[in-house]
Amino acid sequence: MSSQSPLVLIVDDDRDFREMTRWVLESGGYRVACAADPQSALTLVSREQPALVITDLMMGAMSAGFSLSRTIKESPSGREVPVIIVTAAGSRAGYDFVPRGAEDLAAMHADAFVEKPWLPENLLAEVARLLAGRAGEKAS
Amino acid sequence: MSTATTSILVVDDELGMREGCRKVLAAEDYEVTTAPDGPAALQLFQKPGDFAVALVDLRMPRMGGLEVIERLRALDEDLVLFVMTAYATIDTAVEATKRGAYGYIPKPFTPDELLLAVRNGLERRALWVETEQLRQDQERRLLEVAIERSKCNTIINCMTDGVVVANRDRQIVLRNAAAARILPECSNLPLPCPLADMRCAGFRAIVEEALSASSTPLIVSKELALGESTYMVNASPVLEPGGEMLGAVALLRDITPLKRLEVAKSTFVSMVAHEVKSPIAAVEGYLNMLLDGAASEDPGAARRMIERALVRARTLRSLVSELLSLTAIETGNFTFRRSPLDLREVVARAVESCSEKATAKRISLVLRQDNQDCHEPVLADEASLLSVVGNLIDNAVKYTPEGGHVDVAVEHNGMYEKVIVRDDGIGMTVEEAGCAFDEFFRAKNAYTTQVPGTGLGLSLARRLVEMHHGKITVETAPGRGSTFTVSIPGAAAAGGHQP
Repeated sequence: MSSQSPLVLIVDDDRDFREMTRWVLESGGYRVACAADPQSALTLVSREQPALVITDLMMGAMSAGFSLSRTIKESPSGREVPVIIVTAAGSRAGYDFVPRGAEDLAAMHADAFVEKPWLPENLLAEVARLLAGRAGEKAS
Repeated sequence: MSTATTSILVVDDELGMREGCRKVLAAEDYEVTTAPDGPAALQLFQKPGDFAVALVDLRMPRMGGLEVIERLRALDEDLVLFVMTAYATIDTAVEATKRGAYGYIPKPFTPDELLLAVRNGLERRALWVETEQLRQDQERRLLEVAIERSKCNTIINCMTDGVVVANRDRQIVLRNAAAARILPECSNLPLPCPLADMRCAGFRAIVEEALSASSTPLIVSKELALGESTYMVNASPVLEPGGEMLGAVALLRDITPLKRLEVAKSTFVSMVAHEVKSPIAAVEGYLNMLLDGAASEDPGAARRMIERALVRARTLRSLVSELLSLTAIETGNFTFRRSPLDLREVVARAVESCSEKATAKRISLVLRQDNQDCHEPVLADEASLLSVVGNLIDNAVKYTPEGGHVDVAVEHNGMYEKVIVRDDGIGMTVEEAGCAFDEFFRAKNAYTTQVPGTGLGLSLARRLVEMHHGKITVETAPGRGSTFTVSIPGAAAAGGHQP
């Protein structure tokens, strides 16, 4: 595992965002696995043990991303896997998903929140920050 | 009295007395009629008002004066009756008055005495008549007020809005049937009842606010949730013309359906926002990546990104035009030009427009035309029909994997012309089929997430077909393809639907 670059799991029902995210991460030197729905994402989490998960928020159900990240965090294999929630619906009529601080993020069972469309360098920076944090935790 | 001359009846068995009275009275322009006895007098008397005054002798053969007086009085309440007698005693005077006589003229009398008595009697009669008229007027007015009030009550009770009136002493003094229904507790309290006895605090507060309003006209408008219903309560002070406050009136209107509509509308707006934002975000994402030089060394990759961005932009464009069409249909602004059309020609054009896409996916797209001549033209808007059939064929091609089959047929069936679009694609579950014609419904599965779509096409198709008095149905099963059937009434049948 240490010899290989970290594996990032991308979960999004939007084909284009899966492709774009894959592109950006691969060009950033990461290995990438993709899932189009939460169910196959969970299978991949336990089988591939990704270092980080990037998931869309609205996949079928409005808050599918929240339940996915919660399930990941509650599973033995995914407890320490950082999760980035990505959405184009940050704040829409009547709803506001944008977290205001660490507390909101914890309630979302997420480690970071990124609005679509992201800039490639921002997404890469966020991934790098979370993976570095995780490495730091492991070292200590 | 209403006639120009005043009629006087003289009843006396003495001819001299009758003629004497006639002479005196006729000289004063009274119209005089005489009768020798009671029965003759009663015969002359046809109806009330025939005579204003009757002078009756007390002692007559056949019928006594008192009896005549009594019977004449019974015939006309306003008749001024005088008793004439030479045997004047207090007792007879009292008896005569009891029977209805107004006055007493003792015989013998001078012409002036007679005229004076008659004039007095007539004045008195005028007063009676006036008083009677006033009484009748008053009764009529009271009746009118009662009718008016009952009309008003009926109208207030028939109102679908609840009406509650409170006086300035904070007592409820009126509530209509609707108010009793909306505020059931209100129906059990006898009126007037203290406002404070009403349990619904929200309603109490609104009425209180209207009651506390100063003399300036003020309307308190608030929404009130009662159980599963929502009411708009408009309360305003009731002011006298002088500006003094008498109380407050509150109207309760059920706005539950409006509220539901509001929720549906905001859900729809949310969905539109999401459906619009996603493709824009994708296009923006690809552009960001291209700018970032992500594919600068791979022209093929750059081209693929641009193509994908284009696909998403086109999806957005069709979403917008479908939304506009839906809105136009909703608001009745959809331009609809019916003309007799051969459905087979329209379908052939729709098939033609989709053939390139089908070929690209190696899907065999076949138009089956039976050779029957029994086809009937349909009275339809060409652009709408083309859009409906095009949408169905486009969907069939989209949701059929490579190498599949799409069959299109036009059939004549009774009163209907039918277009049948059958594919052997991915199909839908029963639940999915149930929602297929709803706005923004898209079956979500591994295959459909690969396919761009707005989720509005079938909803628009259904509305367009319904505008043609037709119907659209689907038969489908997962993995076993879908068959969409559009039935449009033939021109002959459609004629009956024309307004």
